[in-house]
Amino acid sequence: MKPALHIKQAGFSVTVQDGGRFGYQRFGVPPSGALDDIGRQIANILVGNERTAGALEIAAGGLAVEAAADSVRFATAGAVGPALLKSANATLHIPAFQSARALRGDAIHISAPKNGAVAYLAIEGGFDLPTALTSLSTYTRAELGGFRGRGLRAGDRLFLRADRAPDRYEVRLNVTVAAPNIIRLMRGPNDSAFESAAFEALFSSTFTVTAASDRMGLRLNGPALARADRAESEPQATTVGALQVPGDGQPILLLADRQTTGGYPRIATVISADIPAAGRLTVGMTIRFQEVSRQEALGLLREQRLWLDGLADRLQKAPTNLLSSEHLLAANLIGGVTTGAVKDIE
Amino acid sequence: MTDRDCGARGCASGFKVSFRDCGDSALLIGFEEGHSRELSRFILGLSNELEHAAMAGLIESAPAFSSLTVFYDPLVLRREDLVASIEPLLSGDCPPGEPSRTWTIPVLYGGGGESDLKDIASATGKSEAEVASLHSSAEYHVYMLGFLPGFAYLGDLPAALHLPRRATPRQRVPAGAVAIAAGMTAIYPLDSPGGWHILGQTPIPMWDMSKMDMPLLRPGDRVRFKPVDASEDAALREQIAAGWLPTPMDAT
Repeated sequence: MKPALHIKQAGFSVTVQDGGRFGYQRFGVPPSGALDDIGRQIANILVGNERTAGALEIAAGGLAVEAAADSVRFATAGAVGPALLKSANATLHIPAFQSARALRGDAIHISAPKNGAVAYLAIEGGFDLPTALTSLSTYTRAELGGFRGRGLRAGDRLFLRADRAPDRYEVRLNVTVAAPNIIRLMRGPNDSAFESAAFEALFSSTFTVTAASDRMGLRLNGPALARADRAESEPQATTVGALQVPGDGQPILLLADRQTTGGYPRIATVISADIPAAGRLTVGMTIRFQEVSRQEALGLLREQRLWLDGLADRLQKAPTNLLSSEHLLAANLIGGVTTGAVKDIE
Repeated sequence: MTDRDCGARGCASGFKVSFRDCGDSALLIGFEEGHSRELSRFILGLSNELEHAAMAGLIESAPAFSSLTVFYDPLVLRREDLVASIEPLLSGDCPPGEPSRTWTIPVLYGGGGESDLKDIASATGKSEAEVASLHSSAEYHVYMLGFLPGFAYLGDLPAALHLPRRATPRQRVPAGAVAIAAGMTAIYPLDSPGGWHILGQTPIPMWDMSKMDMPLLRPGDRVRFKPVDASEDAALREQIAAGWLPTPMDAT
């Protein structure tokens, strides 16, 4: 039997994503890819994959899978609680940013992300899926890429490339990825379409992420950004992070699955270093925007790349005495201890 | 006049351009003229030239009606160097485009269940047959793709058919719908919400992504529409189900 993950339960949006699909925007295909590409890369680093590898992006609702391979090494990254690794006789709590190995028949439960839009699950060796237009990323609107062009559902079998995870010690990274409360912007490209009051409002107000947000973009609620001219212009190519302003003045921050072209003016654009952070924003979160220069933006991007490049060298050996809830329960019974709570292992 | 006949088009004399940053990793090359086929061919040629330049750090470029957006990695390709490589292309010889191809797309006017043909006829003061005849009499140019994968903006629509978008967009326009709005015509490649007026239906798939790594219609292509009746439409659908796809005639 081909090695696989059996999907037991999947929330609203669990998709395969890699670093994105480039070269097809001229044909109307958005890049897609991980909303928080730093989270995706970290999950892959933890299991020893190339940083370009795909991962499962878990949005609302969580994920439960069963290992249908001799052994499966996995790691999660993102604003998510510990994964539960359930075998016949124990349940281990595997914190985010730490690798672990599941054996055939073990279940892995990942809760819905908390304090962030997404979490990532990477598997050593990666998924045995065909690329679509050079990428594994799922673009559901065109049923392109990933697993049959759609989100995973209970009953799916997601094939893996490796039937066995090599014996080696597990690793962890002492990092956190947090949803931001400040997002940095550069003005433009259509800044001339706005009155100066719009920039004052943009840089001095708080905006809230509304429920109408998805992988295409974050619909924000805040003071209306006044346009100098109400007309919709000829469509231009859009870019990730663009703050597009429709007639009602409420900006839309464009994300990975955005339409490749649009006629609404773009008052400003999120700098590349803050795109992964913007991807962590979820409904109800509030943000402020700060203007930075191009030089600052490049400095921040360079710093972030160096940080990512250095992560593989910062992997630490994970603790081997993973506590299981059964062990704790046993301890409770024997010792009469009343603190039943299982905590993250540090 | 051919696509590469730069002298006749006067490309070298230059369109007025502006460079605008879309954040730190994309550059919008904006042309001040409104859209025209001449400008479109120039933009497509420029895009083509950049793609073939194999410049390290250049990711891709996306042409639109009167702009070209270039995506790049600013830690590999400096903005100054990108601009310096684009500028000679703007003022020097006209960059050659891909040779254009001409397609004939069959349309069952008024067919396909969802149709606004009657409303279009009354809004334009024409009969339904006249609308179909006007629409299929023009040769269209693919200015750009956008909105959905494989959604080609075809211009220019005969002036008698110019209508604004529908006041209320449809929740679902079926794949293959041939529609008009805002001086353009298009074929919906996928089922999608849409605000254009539907003239009819074509059986030709715009982009079967399981089989083709590029859409049928690409920027710079020319398109004609040919009215077909229900039995011709049905016969074409059978052929397509068996794997047939139209081939383009090379432009002359």
